[in-house]
Amino acid sequence: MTHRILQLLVAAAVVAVPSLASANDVSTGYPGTRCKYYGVQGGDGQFHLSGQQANGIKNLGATAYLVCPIIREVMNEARVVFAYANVSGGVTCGLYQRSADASNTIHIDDPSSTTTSSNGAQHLVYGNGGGLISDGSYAFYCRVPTNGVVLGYGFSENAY
Amino acid sequence: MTIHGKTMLALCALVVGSSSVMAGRAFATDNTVYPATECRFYGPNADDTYFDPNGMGANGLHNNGGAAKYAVCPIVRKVFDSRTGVATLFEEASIQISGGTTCMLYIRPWDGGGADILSNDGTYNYADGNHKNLKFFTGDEVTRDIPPGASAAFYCLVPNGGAIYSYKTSEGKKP
Repeated sequence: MTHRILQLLVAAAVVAVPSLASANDVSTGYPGTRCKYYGVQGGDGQFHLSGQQANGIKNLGATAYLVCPIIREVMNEARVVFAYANVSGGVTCGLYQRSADASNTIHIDDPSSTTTSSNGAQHLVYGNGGGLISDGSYAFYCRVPTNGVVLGYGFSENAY
Repeated sequence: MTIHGKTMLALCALVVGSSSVMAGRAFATDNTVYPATECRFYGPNADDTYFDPNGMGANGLHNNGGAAKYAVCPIVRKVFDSRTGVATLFEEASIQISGGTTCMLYIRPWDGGGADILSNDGTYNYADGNHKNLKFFTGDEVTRDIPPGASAAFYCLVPNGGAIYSYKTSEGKKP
């Protein structure tokens, strides 16, 4: 009987540990419509939301930049699990982090992996396992050519 | 106690501990950090010739428009249970600014009634002396009730040359 209880407890512990690890990952996803023109908003005559099914933002003007803010869910000690941007039309993005006192800025310009779908959209993945600045803020900074689209983006971090 | 007994106790502790961590995690990590590029001009977008992220590392906004203007920085509430009517607490709300920027925190009831307008109750100056962290509630010492269903946002006056870098909140269920 004791042996049977022991087996059950071991099984419960084995199940609990991996699920605890995944429970520490905190992820957020955003539509591209959260992105903003990189400049004064009154100067934005080119980024359009129409035709993007309420989720994307498209550049109908000359090449320009967007900033896509990220709301962090873990404020203190944490590390990036991954961040991603889903884009099309030759859009490229970098991931910017900045400390609360603005004394430290780190940017990751190149994705660690890129997946291209059959319709040409690209899934850009950044910063797998990279460190986070405690209390730092995060945002994507994207170069958007004419007819380029930011479809969405996301961020996942893990509390230590 | 037999070796089996000790092993069982240890395993029980592991299982109970794991479960409590998982159960408590939902509100134990209710902190949120926002880049100031979440903030927006207090007025129509077409009239915003002031707040520019350029030069702020994609994370901040500064006012280069030549006149003092207002910005709002919306807060995404994370503990929000209007169904049960459970009030929550802000354990901390703070905003990082420079160049003479001043901010207030507006907490508005769900029905749009008069907002609770709060001034900062503490200021921490960073090493450069210009860059400041305005704190509205500080850890365990001061907390603030948030009515069920209420929304919250910072409202800042940013002089020409002033900036907002980021802001953060920590919200929990009322004990």
